Amino acid sequence: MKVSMKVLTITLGFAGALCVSSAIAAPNWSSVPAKDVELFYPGQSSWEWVLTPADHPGATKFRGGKNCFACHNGDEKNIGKMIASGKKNEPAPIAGKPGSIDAKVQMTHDATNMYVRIVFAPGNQPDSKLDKEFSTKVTMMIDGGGVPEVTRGGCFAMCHQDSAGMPAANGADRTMYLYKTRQKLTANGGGDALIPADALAKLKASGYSVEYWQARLNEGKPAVAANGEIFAKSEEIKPTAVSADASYKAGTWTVTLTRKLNAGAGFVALAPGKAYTVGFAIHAGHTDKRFHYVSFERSMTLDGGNADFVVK
Amino acid sequence: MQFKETMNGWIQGVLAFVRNNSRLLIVAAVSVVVGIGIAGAYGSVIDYTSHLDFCAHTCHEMEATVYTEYTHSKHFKNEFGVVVACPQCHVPHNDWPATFRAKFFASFELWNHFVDKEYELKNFEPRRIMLAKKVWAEFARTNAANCKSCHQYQNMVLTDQRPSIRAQHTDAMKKNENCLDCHKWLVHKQLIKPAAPTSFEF
Repeated sequence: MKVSMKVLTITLGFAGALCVSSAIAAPNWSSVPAKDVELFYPGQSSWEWVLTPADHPGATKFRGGKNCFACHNGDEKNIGKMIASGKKNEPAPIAGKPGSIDAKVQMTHDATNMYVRIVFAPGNQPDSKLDKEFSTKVTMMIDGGGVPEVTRGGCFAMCHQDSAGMPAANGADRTMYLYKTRQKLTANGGGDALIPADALAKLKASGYSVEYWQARLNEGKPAVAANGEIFAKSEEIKPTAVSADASYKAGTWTVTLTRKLNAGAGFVALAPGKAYTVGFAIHAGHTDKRFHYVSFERSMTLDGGNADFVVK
Repeated sequence: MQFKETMNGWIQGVLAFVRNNSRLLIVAAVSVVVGIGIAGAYGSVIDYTSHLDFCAHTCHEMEATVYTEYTHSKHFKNEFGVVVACPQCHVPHNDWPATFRAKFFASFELWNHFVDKEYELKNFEPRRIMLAKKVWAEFARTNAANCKSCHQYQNMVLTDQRPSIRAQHTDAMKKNENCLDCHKWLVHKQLIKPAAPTSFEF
């Protein structure tokens, strides 16, 4: 069948318009306020450590209702320097590892997507050779309000004394987990004894889980996006609902994580009127697992309200 | 002339009074001298027993334990060269009845030293926690008045403090908290470790 040039032109033009409109429109970042987020090296500072007064003098205040950030806002550089040097909570310090990383974080959304932009300079990072595939990983974790301990303590609520590389791990390769999935939580963590399957399902259905978005980076190569969920363990979700874009220039990474506001069942629904808790982590210098930099918890809302990040 | 006569009359009157009340006046004079002597002796004893050297080096049990621990603390050596000696924490300030009471009861420690032989550390160490609790009770009674004679909440430059410390002090000053609620083991050996938590769940 002969197709006329006119019909072909119109068809191609329509297809092109479709392609353009389906691509994610980059936000105008110059109009989005940036917040300073200091990430520090936490070593083996676990949830159980946070709650033990003999180890952490602030434990009593924390149990009494004060969140980590309320006391430690501005302390990150000092804490990170002390731990990274091996003076406290780090039996295997990585020689030359900086104690903290300064990041600037911007968040915005449109009708469809939420965008998170993280700009940071990792500094002179020694190559730890723990992650042979990626030099840097940037992660944001987000809780939709269903995990009280994460609202209070951010990521620390999921880091336990018996997780991989932690004091009570005894060689186990346990990931982060939420403690209510365990039958009992002691000073050495929750072990592997889970609550019954029906109780687990009920817990999950109540919104008790945390989602993470991650960009896995190598200089000069496109970012690899990943996302997952932390519940009884940390599990990657495939295919990922998150996309990642990153560039590296003059020692600085600019990373953008994007996800639909409503990514479907099993994902944290992002909508105005709800309170969220977010936290950030950066693995730099080919590190993995606990050898990352973390931020204290931050609150987040969409469009209005009182929070550390009001995403508009 | 009239003035001279008046003065003369007055002097004669005084001399007559002295002659007629000589015993009473002698007793009064002696009493004043003895009173000044007692007050002077009391002041000297308080001064002498409120000096770092007395507290630290008179009794072996003090020198070998609490004093040695104190010399490792910021109350002994710090960037400002300020020395906060034993009496500044352990003897009431500006309250002479409380000071008298403290010194009076402290004198019973002589019995413990000589009769109970507390100069031997094996006899002293088991009593330390009981003695510490007495000190804490006194600090609780006065709401750490001795700390606050130097460290006053309203005079803290909070912006010069580390953020976590600033946050704690901001909270504490709202309720004028007892400093020992957080700073219990500042100077001497920690005798009791905090109890291990029984729950890590919220």
